[in-house]
Amino acid sequence: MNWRQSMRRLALVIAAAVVAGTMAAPALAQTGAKTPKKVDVFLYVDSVNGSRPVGAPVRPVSCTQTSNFTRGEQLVWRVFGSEAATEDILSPENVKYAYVKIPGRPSIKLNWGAHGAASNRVWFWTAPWIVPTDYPLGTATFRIVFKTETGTFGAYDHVVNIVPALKTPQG
Amino acid sequence: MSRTSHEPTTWGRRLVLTVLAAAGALLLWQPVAAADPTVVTPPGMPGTPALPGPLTDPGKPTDSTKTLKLAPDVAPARTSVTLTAAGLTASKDVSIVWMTANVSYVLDPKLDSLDYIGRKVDKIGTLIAKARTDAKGALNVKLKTPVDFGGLHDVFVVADGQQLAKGGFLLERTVTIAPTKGPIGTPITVTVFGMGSPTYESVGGVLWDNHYTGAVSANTTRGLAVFKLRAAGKPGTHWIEYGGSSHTVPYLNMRQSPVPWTDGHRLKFTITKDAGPPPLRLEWPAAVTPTLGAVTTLSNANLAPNSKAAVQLDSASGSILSKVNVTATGLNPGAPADVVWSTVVGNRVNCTGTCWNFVYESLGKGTAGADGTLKSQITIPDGLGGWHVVQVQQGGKVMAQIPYFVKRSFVSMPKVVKAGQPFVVELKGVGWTQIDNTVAVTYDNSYIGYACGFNSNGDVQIQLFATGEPGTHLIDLYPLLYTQQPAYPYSQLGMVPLLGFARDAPGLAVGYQLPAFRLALTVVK
Repeated sequence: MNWRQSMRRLALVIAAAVVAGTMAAPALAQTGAKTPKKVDVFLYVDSVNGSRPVGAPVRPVSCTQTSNFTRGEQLVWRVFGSEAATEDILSPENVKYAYVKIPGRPSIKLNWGAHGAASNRVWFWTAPWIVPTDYPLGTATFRIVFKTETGTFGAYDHVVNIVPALKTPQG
Repeated sequence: MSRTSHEPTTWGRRLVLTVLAAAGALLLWQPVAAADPTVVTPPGMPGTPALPGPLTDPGKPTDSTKTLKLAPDVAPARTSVTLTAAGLTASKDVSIVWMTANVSYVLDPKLDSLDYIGRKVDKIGTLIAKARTDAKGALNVKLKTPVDFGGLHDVFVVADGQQLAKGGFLLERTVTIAPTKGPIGTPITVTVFGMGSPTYESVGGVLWDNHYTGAVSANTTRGLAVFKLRAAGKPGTHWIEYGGSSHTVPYLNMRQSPVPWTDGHRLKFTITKDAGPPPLRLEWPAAVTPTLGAVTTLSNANLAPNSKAAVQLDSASGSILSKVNVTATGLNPGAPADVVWSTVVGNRVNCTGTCWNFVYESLGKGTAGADGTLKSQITIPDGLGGWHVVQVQQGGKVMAQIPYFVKRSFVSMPKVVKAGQPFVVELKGVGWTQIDNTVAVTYDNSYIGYACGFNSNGDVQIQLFATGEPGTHLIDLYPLLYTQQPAYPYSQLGMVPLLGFARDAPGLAVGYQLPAFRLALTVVK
């Protein structure tokens, strides 16, 4: 299966999510949702725990979604996206650059690649990052930035919790 | 057989049946109760830490927000911390903003009950220091961490509404006990700093020698919990475990959870001797001024139009059978007057439709004087505890009314019981709302069950068995939040002993003064 076939599956998943979103729309309307604004690029962003932490124990199961990271753990961003005007999936064919902006540290590049079992490979963007042992605790906001070959931009602020390595208080 | 166009197809029938079944299921599926939630302003509990600083705008993040380093960044309250950052705007006055929360209880006050719904957390920014960057844009500030909720706190350097730098601090939980030794029955004060405001950091589950005793919270006391246990068991070493908990009981693998810092508090107490049963004692909550005036049975129904009458009692609360002097003024002169007690009767078990009703009990009759005054003495009925109303009626209309709170009271229990024999502890004045309809029972600090007073009109006869070695054994009765019938989603602290009842309990804001009963008996062979 190539990445285009894989992306068709992804498109179905996204379509299902859109249906779910439509069903939730009345609830949003009741809470006074803001006026929608036009966007050029749609992004899906999540974070998972990588299998190669430095200075923190490996979790029993890697690559699972989480927004809580201990210092020393490996945070991996996963990003899927599409360009609004063309509906094309964001890939190296239409993306000029893509990166994660990390407050107080150098930005890191997002890489396009295949993931998952050989029979069910999925292509998307990823960037791994070891949370430094002195990185500020608490909420951290990371900006995901895409620029397409046609000059459009997409950005999303992804928030996670940075927590200290385990320490057992006494008394 | 031919099929007309009006006959549904097989799949069509299936679809209709499926839709009907789903609709039926939705109608029947009522997992949680509807409610009219009221966020209750916390009463001013003495000793509650003040806000870390005045409320302030935490600003907005920018593309150039820098990192703020705190050293140390994991420590208890009142720790000296150095904050440093570089690359900020040079020679700029800045605010240091400590992010925290205000936590309030949410109740549903009704005329015929008071439901406990849960709690509400509002995130806030507080100004804890002002500083100035140097000519190179560096910042160096020393300060002491506030006494506040435990857990993670974002810290911002803010100027002109923008976050110039962002750091964070983990305020650690500390737990201490005093004293650390004494005879059976010694009251042990447990002091906890740094209970958290998020759900999974806001409850402590207490174990005594691996027996569950109860739950503690510090929602309205800014993370400071102070409560009492009594030393129970044989002379020797005993252990108190203050475990992290999400709702009631300890979360025993909290170290594998996302909030492992709530774990690890184990404290030793030494029982020196069995000096015999300590005297019976009632431990009352701190006296605080209620912030919510909505009390049960205080209704505007049947009020006499244009009545200028007023009524006063010489006490606002007391136990059943208390004598209370009533003075009503502004009544219709020379007309008969009834003094009436407003209460309810019923239960919340196996009930459908109407589960309980208002009832009005005559407390006495008289005639208003020529000046419209009526003076009388009433006896508080032997019935349900909690908030009631004393009405003065004339011509069947309520001329004036005033609330009265019926306190729980101890009636009896044996002092000596043979091992294996049953005995009864009796209380009066237990109420009917979700705040006060139940007492939780511990035997030697082990939670064994609860007892309800609604169906028995406030009288509670707790059926117990004497167990354990000959000697002194302790029975403690604690307030309990009854989180059933109706049940609300995600309400914490329900159905277990509320060990922190004296300082952090939802009913305190509505004047529910509910005590712990500290009882003891001698078990003999």
